[in-house]
Amino acid sequence: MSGLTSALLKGPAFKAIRGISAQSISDAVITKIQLNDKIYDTHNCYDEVTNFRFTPNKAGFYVLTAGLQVNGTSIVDARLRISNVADLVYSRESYSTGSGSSYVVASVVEYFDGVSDYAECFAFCNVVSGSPSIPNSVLNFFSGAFIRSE
Amino acid sequence: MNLVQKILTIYPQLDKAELLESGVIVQDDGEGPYIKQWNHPVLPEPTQAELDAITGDYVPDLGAVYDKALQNNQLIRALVKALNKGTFVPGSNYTGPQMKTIIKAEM
Repeated sequence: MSGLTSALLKGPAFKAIRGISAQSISDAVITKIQLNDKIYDTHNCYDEVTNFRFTPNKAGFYVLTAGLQVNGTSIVDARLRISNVADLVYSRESYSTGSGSSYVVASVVEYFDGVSDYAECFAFCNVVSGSPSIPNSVLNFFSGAFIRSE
Repeated sequence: MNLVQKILTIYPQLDKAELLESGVIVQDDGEGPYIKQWNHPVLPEPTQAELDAITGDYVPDLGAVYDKALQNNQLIRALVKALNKGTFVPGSNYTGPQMKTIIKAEM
């Protein structure tokens, strides 16, 4: 077995979705996406109950990908951010505009210290009126995997 | 009315996207919206008393929205204002030169 393959097998990987009920969010407020149903979580690093965050327990680089579907009345602007709450250094945003439903995807590769670094997903949705919502759907997901130690 | 709408009521010259992109972060981690960061280059952060004083439904300042949307396009502004004055209402019977004069006066 090559060293690369060995490293991939040993690192954390996870995927969570919005699987239980829809999540209402406030218009134009950056809101943490509560991805509350784990599909897999090899090292038990994703908290799907309280903080909805990925805190890997192995130092190294990780690829993170997330998808966001929002429903609302005349959506002006929908954005998805994968971020470190402390300083937003992992911030990535995608934009989508539409009426009824919008979908955005974001992806990033970042380093985690394996101790306290973590990542979360946030949604921003600007609507003409009413309150947008995030439906329970596999389209609303957050996933990630360890790719290398240095 | 949510927190962003209260801020926009205090500062009607801002819109929601502009607020986000000007260094202001209104965030909700699951326990309700709060101002996480206020780095607006000009406008001061509203006090809690100012925010608390705002009640009722959010009513956007459509005049400010209108001006912002058109501030970089004088021609469209002139056309829309002329339209609002009835320039293009059927039966007004303006001649071509009269219409040009009215639109030009708005530019």
